[in-house]
Amino acid sequence: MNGNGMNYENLENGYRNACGNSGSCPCGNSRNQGALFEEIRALSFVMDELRLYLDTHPKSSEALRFFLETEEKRKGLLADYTAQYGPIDSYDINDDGTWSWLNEPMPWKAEAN
Amino acid sequence: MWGYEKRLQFPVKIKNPDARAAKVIMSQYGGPDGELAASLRYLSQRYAMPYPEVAGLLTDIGTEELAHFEMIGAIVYQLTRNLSVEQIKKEGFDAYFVDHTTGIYPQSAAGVPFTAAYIQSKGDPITDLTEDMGAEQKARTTYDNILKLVDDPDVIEPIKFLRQREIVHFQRFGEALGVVRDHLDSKNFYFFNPAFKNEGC
Repeated sequence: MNGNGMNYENLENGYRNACGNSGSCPCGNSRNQGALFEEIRALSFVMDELRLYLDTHPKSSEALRFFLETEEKRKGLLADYTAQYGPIDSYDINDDGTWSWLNEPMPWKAEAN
Repeated sequence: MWGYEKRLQFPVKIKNPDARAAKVIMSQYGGPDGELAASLRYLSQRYAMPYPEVAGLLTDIGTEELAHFEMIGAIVYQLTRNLSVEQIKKEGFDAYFVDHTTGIYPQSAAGVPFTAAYIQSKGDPITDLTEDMGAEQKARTTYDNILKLVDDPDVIEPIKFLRQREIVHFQRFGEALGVVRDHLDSKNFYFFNPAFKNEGC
């Protein structure tokens, strides 16, 4: 915990404990689709939280460094996910010869979560 | 411009339908202190915000609120899947059902359709940010009330997440109000609107 009340180390774990998904460390071992998806979701949340924090603490070099580290990790996992299972981001359509943007399930369905 | 990511910000995975819970939770979809009102409020207020750091915050929180709007839609959708007519009648969902079947419509728990009258965009950074802090607290209270009315852990977890986000947003808007205050000069110690020319107040 730093002086501004932002506990960087626990952001991601706190999110995981809340959502009930243990995830797995980004260590390069192959993960199943669900675990990879949850890892992307957790890292995205870390960035959502840090983005707001940086808006009101733009001089925090510690928060900025953590944001950039998380972005780097997320970018790699998102590319892996998209190549294997289809797009999450509407600008990152994969090239498997099909219009995979429409692949089920849609995100509001229970089976997508 | 907005992009779309095919994922909820926090998982919603509800096993058992519950029309009674859906009826109260839908207030956070289109009710007075709901996520749609929050998003439209911040995304509309940002144009009159003269300080880029605060205009950026309004954009970012307004964007996150859209993701929460989607989560609430998903909760209501999943809670109303495969309902029998018996359940619809027994769980008090018949009044909604007659107008919308099980489609998702922005209204309050009491059935009032969404209206922009729930929000203000006053063109005054101090006024708007003060409203925003109140709005976050009102949404937090609504989630507290929802948590008193639901007992399914599948519903409680995403609602608790959304409640926590209200607390973080309240904190950030408080900091943003401090940023605005720091921009005021010694002639503006009563906090007159810095976004519009002040002439003799």
